[in-house]
Amino acid sequence: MRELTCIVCPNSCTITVDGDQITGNLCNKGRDFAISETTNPTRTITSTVVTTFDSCPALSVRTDKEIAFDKIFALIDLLKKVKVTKRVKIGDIVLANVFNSGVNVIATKNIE
Amino acid sequence: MQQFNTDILVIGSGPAGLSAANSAISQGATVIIVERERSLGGILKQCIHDGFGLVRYGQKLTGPEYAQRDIDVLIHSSATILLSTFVTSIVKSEHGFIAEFVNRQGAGNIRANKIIFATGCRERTSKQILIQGTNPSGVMTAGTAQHYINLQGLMPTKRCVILGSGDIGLIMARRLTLEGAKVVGVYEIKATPSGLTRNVVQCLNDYGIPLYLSHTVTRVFGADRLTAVEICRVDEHMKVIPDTAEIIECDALILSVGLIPETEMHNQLSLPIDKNTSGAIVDQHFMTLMDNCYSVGNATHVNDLVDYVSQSGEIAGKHASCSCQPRFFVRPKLNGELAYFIPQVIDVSSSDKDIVCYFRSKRDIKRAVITVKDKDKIVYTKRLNNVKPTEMQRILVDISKLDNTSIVSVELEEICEN
Ligand SMILES: Cc1cc2nc3c(=O)[nH]c(=O)nc-3n(C[C@H](O)[C@H](O)[C@H](O)COP(=O)(O)OP(=O)(O)OC[C@H]3O[C@@H](n4cnc5c(N)ncnc54)[C@H](O)[C@@H]3O)c2cc1C
Ligand code: SF4
Repeated sequence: MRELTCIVCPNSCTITVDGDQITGNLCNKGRDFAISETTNPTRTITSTVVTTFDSCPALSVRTDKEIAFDKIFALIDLLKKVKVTKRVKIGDIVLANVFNSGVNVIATKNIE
Repeated sequence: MQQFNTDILVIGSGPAGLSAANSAISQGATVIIVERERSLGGILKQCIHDGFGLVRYGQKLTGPEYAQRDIDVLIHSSATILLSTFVTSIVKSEHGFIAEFVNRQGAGNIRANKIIFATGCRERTSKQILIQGTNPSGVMTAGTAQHYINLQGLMPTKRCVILGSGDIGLIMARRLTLEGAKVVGVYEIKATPSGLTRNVVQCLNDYGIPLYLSHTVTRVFGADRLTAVEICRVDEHMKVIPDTAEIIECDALILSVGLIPETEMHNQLSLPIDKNTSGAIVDQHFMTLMDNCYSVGNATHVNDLVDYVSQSGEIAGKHASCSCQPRFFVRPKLNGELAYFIPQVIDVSSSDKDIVCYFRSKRDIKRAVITVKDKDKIVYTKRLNNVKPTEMQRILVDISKLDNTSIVSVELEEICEN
């Protein structure tokens, strides 16, 4: 038996997972979260990368889908090697298909 | 001398100011929005983590993405936008308000019929908490650390202690850890965390960062730069237990000890402040007790979701674009476990039906009931589960039956079940 706190929304439900039994979630998203959390935990990662623009020394970015929890620090290391030299807009891909996972890292800010 | 005239003046371009401006313009008003920083968006610019917009857009956006949606609407509208412009004073004039400002071109003023304060909140600093010792650099608020890393791309610490478990502190604990700093721990003087449970889970537990409840920093060491802090345990009355002192080496002490509404502008108009929220007293349209003067977003009370900050701007902007009718206030009396309740006054002369009310509890309550009454008559009642001071509650109350003879009370009570 495992107790989890659902982090999908601010309700922060306490979910109990006991074999196939999932209880305590107020909605189905919580059920999905509990299944993924007990089999293959994933997270959305947000960070920054450096740019060559004085107006924007740090460009904020995020993964467009969740990535495996145990890949987080490897992803951060990859991001440290990135230097953005072109103007980008929100949603533009900064790093494509990281670790062959199908997940892209996208800009969350426009470089003006 | 730069001079402007407008129907509505919005001060501050965070989510509250942006949505106030956008909603007033969509109703046909002329709007000037003034922002002291170089770009629009307020504090959201530095909140690069996700979780914004679940209520408003049904999506988990980052702060800059959330702000950009309102910015895109604003910059394609008729609004006059004054950036790098600091409003220094506000006075009441015969027909409205006069705001003085300074910017690179010099000084100027804006005459406005109506004014909306959307000046946000500020962080409590080390001056507001009692820590002994030297005055080294390296003691900073979580927001300052956030600004360094997320906007300037600079790391302010290699090894730090975080004092206070507010949300920004929790989020910065994760951010600093990901960026390679050692966060020795988050120390909280109270017996429960101040931030949202989900942030304790996804920011601390995910990365094995310890949270020490009933602990505080009592002393700082270091001449130029911080070298260490002294931590003590506290008892149930939050009194330091002396023989529990422990010295922890670190180069930064990051404070996340609370936010307070920014009311410097409000004070210039001597607007009455609610001692429970530390923000201005407002009616259901976020109009203060002074006609045609509004206060929205975190300048009014500290929200935990930006979606509701935007909503307050929207309500005020829409209302400000109509002419202000004489108001008649009833002032709900608060009972039981309520820490605060907004609106503090209800304008019963308006034709409103459902109004949005916000409240927080004084303590954690498993099962509670909130009741709004007019004398003995129940106007609204709802049962609630897991009410916590850290999580703002929001209800819709039908006020169409209230009038100037109403005596309104609001009560939050624990339900005991057996
Ligand atoms: C450091 C920090 C981090 C935060 N992180 C989060 C978070 O992660 N999630 C969350 O939901 N909430 C967070 N908050 C709370 C946050 O304030 C609100 O969610 C939201 O951004 C408030 O919007 P607002 O429009 O009321 O204020 P703000 O976004 O603070 O905007 C106020 C604006 O008014 C401008 N201003 C103030 N005075 C003047 C003046 N005299 N003249 C001209 N311009 C002026 C300021 O420059 C600022 O741009 C944080 C707050 C702080 C202080
Ligand atoms: S279970 Fe549903 S309601 Fe509960 S925290 Fe998760 S997403 Fe939110």
